[in-house]
Amino acid sequence: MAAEATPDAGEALEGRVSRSMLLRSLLLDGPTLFAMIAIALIVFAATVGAEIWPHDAYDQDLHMRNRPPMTPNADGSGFPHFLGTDPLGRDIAARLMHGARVSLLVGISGVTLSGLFGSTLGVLAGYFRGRTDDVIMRLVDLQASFPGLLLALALLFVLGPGFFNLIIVLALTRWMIYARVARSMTLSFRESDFVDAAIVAGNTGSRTIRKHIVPNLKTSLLVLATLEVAAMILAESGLSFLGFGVQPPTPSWGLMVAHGRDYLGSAWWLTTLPGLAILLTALSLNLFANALGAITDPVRRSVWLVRASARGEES
Amino acid sequence: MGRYWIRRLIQSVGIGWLVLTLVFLTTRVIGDPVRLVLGIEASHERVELTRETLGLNRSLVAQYADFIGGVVRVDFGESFWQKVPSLPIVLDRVPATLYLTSVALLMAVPLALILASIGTLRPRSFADRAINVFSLGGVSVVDFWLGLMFIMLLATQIDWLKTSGYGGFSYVLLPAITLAFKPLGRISQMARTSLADEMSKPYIRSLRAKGLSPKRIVFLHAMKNASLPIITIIGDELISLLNGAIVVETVFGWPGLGQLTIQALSRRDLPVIEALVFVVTVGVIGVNLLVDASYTYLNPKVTFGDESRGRRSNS
Repeated sequence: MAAEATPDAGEALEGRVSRSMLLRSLLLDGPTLFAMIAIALIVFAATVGAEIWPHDAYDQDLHMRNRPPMTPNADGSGFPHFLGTDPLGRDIAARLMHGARVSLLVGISGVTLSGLFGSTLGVLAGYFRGRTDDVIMRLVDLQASFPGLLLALALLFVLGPGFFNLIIVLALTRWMIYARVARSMTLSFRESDFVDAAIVAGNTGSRTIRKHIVPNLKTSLLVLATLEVAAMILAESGLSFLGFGVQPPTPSWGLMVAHGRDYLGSAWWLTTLPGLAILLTALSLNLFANALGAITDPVRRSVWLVRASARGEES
Repeated sequence: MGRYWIRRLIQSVGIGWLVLTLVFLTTRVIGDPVRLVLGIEASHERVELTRETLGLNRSLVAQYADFIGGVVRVDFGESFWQKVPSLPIVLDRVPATLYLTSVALLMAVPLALILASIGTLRPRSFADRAINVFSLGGVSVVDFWLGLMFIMLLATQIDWLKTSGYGGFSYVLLPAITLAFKPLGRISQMARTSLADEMSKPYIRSLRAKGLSPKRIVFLHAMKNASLPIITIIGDELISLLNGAIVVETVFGWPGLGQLTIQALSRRDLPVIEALVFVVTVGVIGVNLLVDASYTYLNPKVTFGDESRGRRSNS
């Protein structure tokens, strides 16, 4: 990307870039703005929306099976079934919002677990090198070369389905990337003068890691974690679709797609809407993580800011 | 050279042994194989009877010796479900999965390289940005939903498209397109980044000065030099295509390894699951060896003769 930086990109590099400038540059980029609005809406739906929505996600009404979007209530009063109903007469919009809650919960707690586990191992490998490094990275290489979904399915088969097992299994299958990133960054910091200085000044190993290395890793790992929330949500929906993830009656987007399969010809909204919800969530998180990666990387940031300011002048 | 490959081979056998031991330990120690086979509802008498007939009441060491002996004789025992040796059941499914994944990859790789080249020829143009969002979309979409959407929207309109079963072009087209989306997105993004890296190097400038057309520069020169990271990600994609195959084969009723995985798991057919993990492990090791071999072919600078290769070199 560096090659595409225009000569005046260097100016953006000089001096400290203010936070407001970075924020403004995010808002000026169309896809990023779209992603941020979408993420805000999804988080709102999962937290507040699911609570205040007039229909319940679990209330069945067999007289109201598979009704298309905008169907009015059974007695014609009150709030219509905005996005239709499922084969048990449950409100799709309510289930989608509860599904968002499940997805975000699995995504965020799974990423927290796998991120902490993976980056701890990565930092240890990079700091101590030698045998520790060999053992940890061998394990990373080994697991990374094995298909993750097969591993997750096999683990869930042994442990049995369930919400907590699901989160643990997802964390266990996706920790390697953090270990790789944390290790390679720690290795380069280990060579740098400020870490040498910290050691010479008498810091213990654990203190050097906590006070001098981990703070420098935070931003990159956060960007990675944002990407991984998307990947985690996709993985959860896949497992739930196959019947090994979230179990009914808990609403999950993957499960909703699976249940809509039998009604493809007659009730398009059953499969289409939850799939779109997954796509929107994952795409927004990916777009946002891309922009986040661009503004936190000093080299890419200059390109990004020049682009943004150019667009600001156009408008 | 020869010594390197011999060592790699020995290493591969070691990895295979490690994976199988992990499989043994997870199924026998973390999980109770009898419970896995019978489910939690089975009566106490039935559990004890099955434990005896399967030889699971013996010591772990005896069971392990039996298990490894079986692997050496390539015999994983009879499938509980079909009462025939489980390895042939698994091997029977390999061609179907290879067929499906190769068609998917043959669609994804050329298209991904073309998309990446278009972006590289006109950096930051509308086309470049649209391709970026499209490839992020390919990564963000869930394959099971995409497959169902194709069935719903295309197969109902176009008569000759088949949505289920095994066969020629009309059968393979929809599942292969579905399976191709994820590698398409990931390979095109990876190729775009590594092409951009190449384009910033001095030799490109001299080619430009020489008067070579941008197309020739990108396709003949930059592409060749960017091929190493691209090959790496294609290798990774070969493995994650297996993840996709589990889902896509289930959606399209394609009789491959993926469909067998879900069938074996839901029938709790332990010998088949073990044979499946064995076959996949062998396949994964084979793909990794192939990717490494193609490195030496594409870049004579890479030699595998000495110890300096691999992770240690970047420390």
